[in-house]
Amino acid sequence: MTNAALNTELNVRKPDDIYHGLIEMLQAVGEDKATSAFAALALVLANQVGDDAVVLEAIDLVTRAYGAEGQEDTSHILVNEALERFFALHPDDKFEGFTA
Amino acid sequence: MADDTTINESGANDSGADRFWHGRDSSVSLKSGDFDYPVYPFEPPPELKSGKPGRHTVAIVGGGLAGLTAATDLGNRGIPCVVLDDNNTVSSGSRSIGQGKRSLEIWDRFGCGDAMYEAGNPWTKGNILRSDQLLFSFSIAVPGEYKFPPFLTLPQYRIESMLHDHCKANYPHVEVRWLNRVSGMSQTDDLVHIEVDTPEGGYSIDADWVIAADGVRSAARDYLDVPFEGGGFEDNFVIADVWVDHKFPPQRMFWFDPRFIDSPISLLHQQKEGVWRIDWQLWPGADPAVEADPKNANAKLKKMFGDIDFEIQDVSVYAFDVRRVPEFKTGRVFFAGDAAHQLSPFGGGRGGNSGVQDVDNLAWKLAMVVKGEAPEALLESYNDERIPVADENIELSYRSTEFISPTTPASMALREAVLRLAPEATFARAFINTGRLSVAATLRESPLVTPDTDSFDTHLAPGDAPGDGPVVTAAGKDEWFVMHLEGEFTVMLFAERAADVGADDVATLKALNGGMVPVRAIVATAEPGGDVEGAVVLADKIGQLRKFYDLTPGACYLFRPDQHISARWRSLSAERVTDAVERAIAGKIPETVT
Repeated sequence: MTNAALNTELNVRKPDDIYHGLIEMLQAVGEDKATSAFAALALVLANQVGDDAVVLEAIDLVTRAYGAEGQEDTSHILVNEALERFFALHPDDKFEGFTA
Repeated sequence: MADDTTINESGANDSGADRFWHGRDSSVSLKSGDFDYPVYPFEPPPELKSGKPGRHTVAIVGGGLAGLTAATDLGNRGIPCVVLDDNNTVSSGSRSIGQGKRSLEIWDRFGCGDAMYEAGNPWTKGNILRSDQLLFSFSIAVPGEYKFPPFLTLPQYRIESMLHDHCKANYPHVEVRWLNRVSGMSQTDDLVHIEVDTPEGGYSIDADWVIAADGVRSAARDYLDVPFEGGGFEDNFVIADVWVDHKFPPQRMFWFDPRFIDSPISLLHQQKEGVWRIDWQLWPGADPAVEADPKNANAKLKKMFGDIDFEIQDVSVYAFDVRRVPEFKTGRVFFAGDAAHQLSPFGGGRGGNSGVQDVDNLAWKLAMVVKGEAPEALLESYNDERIPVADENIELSYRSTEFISPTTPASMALREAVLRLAPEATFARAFINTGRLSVAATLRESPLVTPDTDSFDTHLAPGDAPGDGPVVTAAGKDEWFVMHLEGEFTVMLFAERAADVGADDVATLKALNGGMVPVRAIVATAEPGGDVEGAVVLADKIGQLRKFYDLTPGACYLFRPDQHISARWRSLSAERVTDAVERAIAGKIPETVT
């Protein structure tokens, strides 16, 4: 499902500064108020975005991102299995191997 | 087994990078590929016999990565020095493995770069996953051609062993004293007094200058009462080097919620000889001393590997502290490396590499002062130049640790938001901070650097480390630009052809080369061939130098002895170059040198 108007590509210049700003916000408001503070920020930024359709698309995206609960297999596997799965999906053509 | 398991009142190991146990049991044969840990013999120093304090120009406390780099650099510059190390081998424990391009260029200046490149394993691709899902892949490759890759995987102990051997083979004026433990230090305006303990008794030395590179638990800091200020995180991380009978491509793998180990995160990074660097995090409340016990680490790894053969080479537990000393130069003592500044291991390759760049910044200045070529005031710039770099490293290291090790449920929720958004919303990937990989330091605000008066349209600026590029020598050999900068002031003048360099410029270059502080000359040309009297002619093989330096005929760059750009102009002038050199050495060029 694609978002017609929502821009999901990087649009801020310094993500690390923004992340750090959010950490500082959490420290300032305290743990008890953190959830509410995040909600307040969502409202401020939704209003900044302005376009109602875009805001609703953003809400949809987040709902999807949190919707996969219970569908993921989190059971234990061996590390070589994890690596094999990964490289089966993302082959590395340049792998030459090296002798241990 | 080394005795560094002391626990202080707060329950933490009294080291900054709290290593509870470094897992080296000498009775277990180590499968570390083709590396045999050297055992350096104790040689009774002359002071033991004479009973009088030894007099030395430079004493280096600590024969680790920074200390041995300093010794090699000073040795290369003809400055006698003595290194005091309380151990008798190279570093143990899971230490620096990502050697950065700038560090390799620095070691290459001594002639060690090629051997290190051969021994190491470059990597360019990294992957960040959450459970089975790839969040994103990244490449650290930079467009262009360079002698060295952005990062080379080569353990610190191999670098140290190579530097030690290089000093022994080439610099009789560099003395490395093993099993010499510093037991006291004090200083006056004129000298630093050091008490030393050895297996055959104690002695003392008086040194003009001291480089304190004795690591995160620096004794020098304690003896001189120098504070180590900063903060810490509570989470503990296990960092292990494990020989494993299994290969995977040389890609850096970082997991959130790994399925193969009971930890919130895991990092896998394969080193050359089949040794894996494996990191994982301890859950809150886990006892670091218990987790660092090889029996328990083994059990955890057995669950990870199943039937695959493995053997722990080293295991260390780190709790992250991020600290620094207030002044890097304290009187006649210069703090370098972990003794000066401590970062979290997930900082992006800033720990070992910044120690190497510390001493690279210091050694040429110290050498010039010792030789009478520059005033002692030049040494104050070690603070001006390296403290801002350390502060930047500290800030970035802190930020990475905030992401990797969230301290509260709300900050954990913030991280979760980033990780959940990342698959579909590509912007979120830029927020994932598992360590921002370091690049060479820039010293643009330094008082030693000459600000531009001519305009140049390029990312490089005065204060920056040099840009490299392939060149062809006058003899037709393919080489690299940076290796030709060597370790002295050098002016690089650009011309389309060697023959274009006018008589005036040739005379200027000769005059600069003949001064009390000689400035070597390189003529970079677009077309190969030809020569210029008194200068090394290098052809810009693929036009990369022209692009990186925004070169036009007559443009020239002045490089300092640490190869950083000191100044640049659109035309060559002896007066401007001389002014820039004097600014770079914080004083007038002397009439004579001692």
